[in-house]
Amino acid sequence: MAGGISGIRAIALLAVYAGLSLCASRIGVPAWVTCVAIFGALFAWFRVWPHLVTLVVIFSMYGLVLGMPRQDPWPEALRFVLNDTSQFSLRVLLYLIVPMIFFTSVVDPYQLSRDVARLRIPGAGPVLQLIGSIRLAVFNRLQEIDTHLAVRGIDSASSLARFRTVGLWTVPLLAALITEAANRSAYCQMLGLPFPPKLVASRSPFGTVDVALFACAGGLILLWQFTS
Amino acid sequence: MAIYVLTANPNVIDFGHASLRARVEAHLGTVVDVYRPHPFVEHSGFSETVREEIGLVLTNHPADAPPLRTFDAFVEVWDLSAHLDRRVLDLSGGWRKYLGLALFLNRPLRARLLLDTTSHLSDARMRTLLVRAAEHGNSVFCEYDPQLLLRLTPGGTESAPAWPALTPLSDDGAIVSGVEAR
Repeated sequence: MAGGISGIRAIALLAVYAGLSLCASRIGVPAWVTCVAIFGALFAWFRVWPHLVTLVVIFSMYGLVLGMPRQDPWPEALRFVLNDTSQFSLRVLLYLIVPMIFFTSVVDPYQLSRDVARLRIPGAGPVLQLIGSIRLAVFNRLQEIDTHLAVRGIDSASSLARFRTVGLWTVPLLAALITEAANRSAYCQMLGLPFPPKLVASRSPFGTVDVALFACAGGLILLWQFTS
Repeated sequence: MAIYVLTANPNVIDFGHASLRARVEAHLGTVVDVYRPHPFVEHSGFSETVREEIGLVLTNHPADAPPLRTFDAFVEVWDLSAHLDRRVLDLSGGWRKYLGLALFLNRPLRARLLLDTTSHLSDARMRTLLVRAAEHGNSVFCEYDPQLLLRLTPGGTESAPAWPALTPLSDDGAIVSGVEAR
């Protein structure tokens, strides 16, 4: 699982989450609590801490807004926002962004694009492949920049140094990614490929863990049905 | 099947490759396809491993221009079997470049102009490159340091066979012409 989990495993996890959330709602646990608890556990299990930071940054913006001078005390304001049932409340944002960031960080983009390519949606596989591979491209380029800085005696890879040297690595990283994106099509044409090329589609692995997860999700949904 | 080594103003490789291509086409009297390193792009980006990259390129060749070699033969003659299951992004810069060059040279082209191909390549990889370049069509190498190629000793063994004599060419910015070998 070097590149991450398959699309099938992601769907299985999502199904288990939906089942747990439905069952928890039966005993009065709010859906946002289930969402935070389950994805908190998943983030810890898969150890994708950098993406957890992304979430902290996103939701801290809400904190900033709530921190502004207001008539209600802060805890009440937070409760109000979490229980808000309007169309685009914090809860909706939570249900959309938390799973999205989690699956973006753990799903193998290559396998996902192969899965999508098998659905024969024109252009969907290659586009998804490119979007997904940006994550790998970023880490790859960042590693190269770190090496260049290290030979000049500058540590940029450790956690605190990453923030301290932000001015040194962001510009070359952005320049490399933009140039790479601009040259991708020319490179493919040089090799005689159409752009985007037709992907080689291979079946996603379907193991016993996936079967168990789907069975668990099915059981939870049945439990939810029969306890209503 | 000739191999030429073109000496030109090094700036032409970066900034004047379109006009250089026209001059090489005029000299050879045929259409020329260009290989040149594209900054920050060393693989298609649509594949994860070396195996998938080769498979992707070979299956996407146009029907009227099939690859010179199919998968197994390609891997064997380019010595890529040890790297098949490695991620392309995990290869060194030289191997990534070599993989791209191998895939380019697997295209059935009448003539090729290869710009800055030898930087980052070991002597062994350069030898393989020259042997394979001699198999199909004409190849013109234009390097920042052409002497690296001209002074490369041929292998001459079964595992590293020799390549045909390299023909020096010169570009003065207006015309490409042959030069006397020293």
